[in-house]
Amino acid sequence: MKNRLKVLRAERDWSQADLAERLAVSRQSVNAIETGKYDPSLPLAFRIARLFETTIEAVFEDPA
Amino acid sequence: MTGKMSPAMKRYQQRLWPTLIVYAAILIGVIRLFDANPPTGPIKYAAAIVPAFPILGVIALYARYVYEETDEFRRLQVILTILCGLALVLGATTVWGFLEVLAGAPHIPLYFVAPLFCVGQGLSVPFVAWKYR
Repeated sequence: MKNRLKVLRAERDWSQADLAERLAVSRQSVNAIETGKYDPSLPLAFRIARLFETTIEAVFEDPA
Repeated sequence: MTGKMSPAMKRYQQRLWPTLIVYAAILIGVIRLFDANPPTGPIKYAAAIVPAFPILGVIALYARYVYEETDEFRRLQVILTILCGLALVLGATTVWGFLEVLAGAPHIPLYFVAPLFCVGQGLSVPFVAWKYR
């Protein structure tokens, strides 16, 4: 699933490792989500949106 | 499945190695027992089943890891490797079963199933890592 995670992360000058630490996941998880190879669960998607103080729709692109 | 080990994976490893050491010790003991003084009757069955318990323990450790892993992406990767191991076991034993029954292929003891699963799981690790690299 396409997403704006890399952009949102860059805006805050966070590395993948920084974001991973904030989300309590592995850096590999962040990389897999960023590159669209892994779609996070709804709870993790909410955590990501909450961290960036935005909505899930603003982070993840609806593929429909 | 590269990079830093998750806390759940560390706990799994810390539990796995003692279990395997216990398995090796029990296996050696039971083999020596059956070689030196083979038990009979119900004792024979009880003694024969003892080495299986640590292996059952390892299966339980897999379940515990999957339950304890909080990183859903890592959990998915490990589950995929477990599925690969199970696929190899199911596929290989089904094929060999027909070969045994219909073509007279030599019998393979069932205790090889668990090592075969481990081989399948281990071989799949780099492929799963590559899929998500």
